[in-house]
Amino acid sequence: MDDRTQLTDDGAGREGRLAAAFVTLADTMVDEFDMIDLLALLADYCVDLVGSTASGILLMDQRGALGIAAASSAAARVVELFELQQEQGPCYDCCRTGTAISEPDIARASARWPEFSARVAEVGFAAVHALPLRLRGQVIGALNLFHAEPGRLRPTQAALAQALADVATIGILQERALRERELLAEQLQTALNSRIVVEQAKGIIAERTGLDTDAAFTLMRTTARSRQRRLAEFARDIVQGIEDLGMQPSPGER
Amino acid sequence: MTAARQARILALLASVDVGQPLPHRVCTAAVAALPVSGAGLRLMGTSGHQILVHGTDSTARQLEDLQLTLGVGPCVESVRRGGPVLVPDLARQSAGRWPGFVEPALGAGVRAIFAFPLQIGAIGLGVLDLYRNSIGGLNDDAMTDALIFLDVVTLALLDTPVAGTDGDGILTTWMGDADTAVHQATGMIMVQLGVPIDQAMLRLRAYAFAHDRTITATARDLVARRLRLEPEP
Repeated sequence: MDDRTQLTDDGAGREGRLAAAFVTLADTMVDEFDMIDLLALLADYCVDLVGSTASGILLMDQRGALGIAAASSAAARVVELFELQQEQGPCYDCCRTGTAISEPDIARASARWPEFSARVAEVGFAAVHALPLRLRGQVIGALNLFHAEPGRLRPTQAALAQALADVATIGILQERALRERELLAEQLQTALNSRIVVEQAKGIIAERTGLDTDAAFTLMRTTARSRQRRLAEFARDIVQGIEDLGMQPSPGER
Repeated sequence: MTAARQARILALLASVDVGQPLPHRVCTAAVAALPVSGAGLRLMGTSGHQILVHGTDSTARQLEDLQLTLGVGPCVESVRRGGPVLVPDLARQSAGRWPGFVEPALGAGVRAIFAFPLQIGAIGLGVLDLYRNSIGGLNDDAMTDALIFLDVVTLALLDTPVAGTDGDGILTTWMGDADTAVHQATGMIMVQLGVPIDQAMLRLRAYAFAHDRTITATARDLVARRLRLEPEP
């Protein structure tokens, strides 16, 4: 389904499209979703519903590095890229401070952002409004609106854009939390698996050598270290029958 | 509403049997928080082999041992399905569903069982077994509490790996002799019978079943060298 076509052609009127936009964004939080799709949708909603000329989204990864997550037009992408490279501009400042930053007339902002205001004028934008992607104290990026005409955002426009941003923020944070938990679960499962295989290998060595299981463990660990093998992998090789420590097979194994 | 229940369950988990390992406290808290008589917790590796079992009482441990020996039962099925298995009236289970399980479980005093898998996304970490010595299901309230309890427990378990592993990344915390004996015994059988590891596990299980003993008791005998399996002549 081409969501972008839906936005402008469905004839349901602006209110209908607005409601649909929120439903779609909320849906992404319930089902599995593609982050890139979500943010592309969000950028398009800003153009269609808020009435911006173009929009872009900057997103911080878990290490705090900023990147361009979406842009509704090539011009928007140029501006976002510029801000990232120069570390200058309202969108960049918004990410760093977590507060909305609005420049209704870029022509007058050359003192504040010298290189940025020149670049933005080149691509045809006259006003920039940056809104934080923020949940309580946590800032993860900025939603940036670019307008061809100078002027302030109307309060209703600002409120709508911030609401769209808030819904997207919750979705992104939820997805990140889930991925983090999955990583921890994998680590726990690996730790469990390793323990199982080490205990199995202890039994194997104990049976082959006649040692008790503690002495068998010491032998296994010493041998693994002398061969610079990781203990769990070495144990796995023993259990898979790839490694026999040079021990003779017992009668049962022949 | 959910936040209030979550907070209550977290507080309970933090306050019961302080000083005992987490799996122990999970089972105690389950009995305190939910309308059940006993609880068992089983953690498992990807091969389906369990590594850890804890139960609130001998009945819970019996149930776990029974399912481990037979390889069938509500918690085994719950893990396989990736979803809860709810049995409000054990006596009315058809004999075919879990062969060999229902009679001994009823004999141990169990009348209802509810098994919930511990799952994060696609990763199955184990299962929480709740049982009751009277017939009856979990009403909506209890079910909600059970699912929240499960969530809280799963996250609490995830806090472990870094603290509970040694330098080799092997889980060292929570383990008891009974947990490790089964796997050591499996390794011994692998050598004694000359079979691959998965078959060795089946042979351990078959021996225990044939001699009407638990898998844990059989494993302990093998590890202590009171017992040896011989290959067929």
